[in-house]
Amino acid sequence: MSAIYEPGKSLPFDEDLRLVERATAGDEEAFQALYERYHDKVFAIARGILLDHEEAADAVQEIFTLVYRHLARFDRRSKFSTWLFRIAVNRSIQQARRGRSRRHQVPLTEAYDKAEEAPEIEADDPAIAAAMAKLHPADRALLTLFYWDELSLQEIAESLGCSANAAKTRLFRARERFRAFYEEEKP
Amino acid sequence: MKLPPAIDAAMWELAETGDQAALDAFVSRYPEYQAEMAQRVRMVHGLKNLKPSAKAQGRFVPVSDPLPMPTQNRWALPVAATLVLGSLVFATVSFTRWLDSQHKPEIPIVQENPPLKVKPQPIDQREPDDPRVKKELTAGGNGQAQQPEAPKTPWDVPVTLVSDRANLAATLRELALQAGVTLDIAPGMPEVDIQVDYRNQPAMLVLKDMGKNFGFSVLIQTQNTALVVPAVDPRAPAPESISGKSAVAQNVPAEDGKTP
Repeated sequence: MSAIYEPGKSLPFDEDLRLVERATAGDEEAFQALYERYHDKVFAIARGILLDHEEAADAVQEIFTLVYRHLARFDRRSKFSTWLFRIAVNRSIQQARRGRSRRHQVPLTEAYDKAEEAPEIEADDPAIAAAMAKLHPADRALLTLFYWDELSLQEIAESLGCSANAAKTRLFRARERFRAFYEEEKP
Repeated sequence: MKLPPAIDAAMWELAETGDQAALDAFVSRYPEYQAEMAQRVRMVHGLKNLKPSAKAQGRFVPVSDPLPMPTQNRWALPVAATLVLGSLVFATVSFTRWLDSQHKPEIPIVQENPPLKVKPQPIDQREPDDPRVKKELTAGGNGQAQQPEAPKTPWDVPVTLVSDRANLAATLRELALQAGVTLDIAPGMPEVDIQVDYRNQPAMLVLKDMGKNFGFSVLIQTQNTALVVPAVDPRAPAPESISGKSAVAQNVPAEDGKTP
């Protein structure tokens, strides 16, 4: 795989790329700037997929650690943000699946105790959070990227590693599933 | 509620823009979707309001042992699917072959002599009823007492066919295989199971004897090919029958008790 990036030809207005260059060269402050710039959006992704504040906070730290250690792998063919979001989505979905299987293995008494626990996300309309919790993590990822991080379809496509048309179709289906769960929750 | 896809998509877009004038225009045009439109607006509003906020606090400190980099192995699923499909096909083919092998007609052929090398001989020099064969049969009884001479044509090659129940066509094929000849079997041959017991008998003699018993004639075409037709010439002289235990041929009734 060859990197397209050439240091002398980087776009002057791409602040992310400048920060990435400096961070790759060992500038800790540059990585801190990237961390502060994207922490909120990455946290939103993790929280939207994992539905749990603590888990999401841990996931954010792991995601930025992955990025920090593998920054040299970023090949500059996409924007830094979409590369970061892709890692965040994949990592959070991975953790959500693990968490779900862990939840399936809890003892019966513990499961009974937790049965009445509502999803941690709080909303004015409880049906919204309940419907969100019923969705598959991949669907939650789409809705999070679209409604919370306000990414365009093209950016969502790059973050998910698919075409813009595929992202549009998947978003439409995710919304329809959300609507179906929402209608189930409404009295 | 099932909505037309175009309406459905338009309602999502309108709810996301939140443009009140556009919403009013939609509701005035489609009053039947007013309630659904209001619900969409509530859903989108609720979804957007769910967004958490957590600003970065303090400096970033890498965690000690993060999970490995998540990768999207796009090739993994197709490769796995191909492997599973290939295994299924292999298993099906193997099972089918095994089933076929279990249902083959039982033709317990006793090959007592090693395969003989056939010395080619022109067809016009061949004697269908070679007296030497008769002599050999009468002298040997079961054909094992004397060492037979080397056959001159494939039709003289001694064959051994022993079976309590075998299909006529399959028996003819086995005879052709042992003698090294080609038998073209004409349509209309009886589909019968037969009982045969020929041991070390010349192929042509066996063929003629079987023809007499099961109603077919053998027409020699070349030195090693013949046509088997399901008809018997009533005026033809009766072939030399093979006497004794060495040649017992009879029609075996089918399993349902009917003789075909």
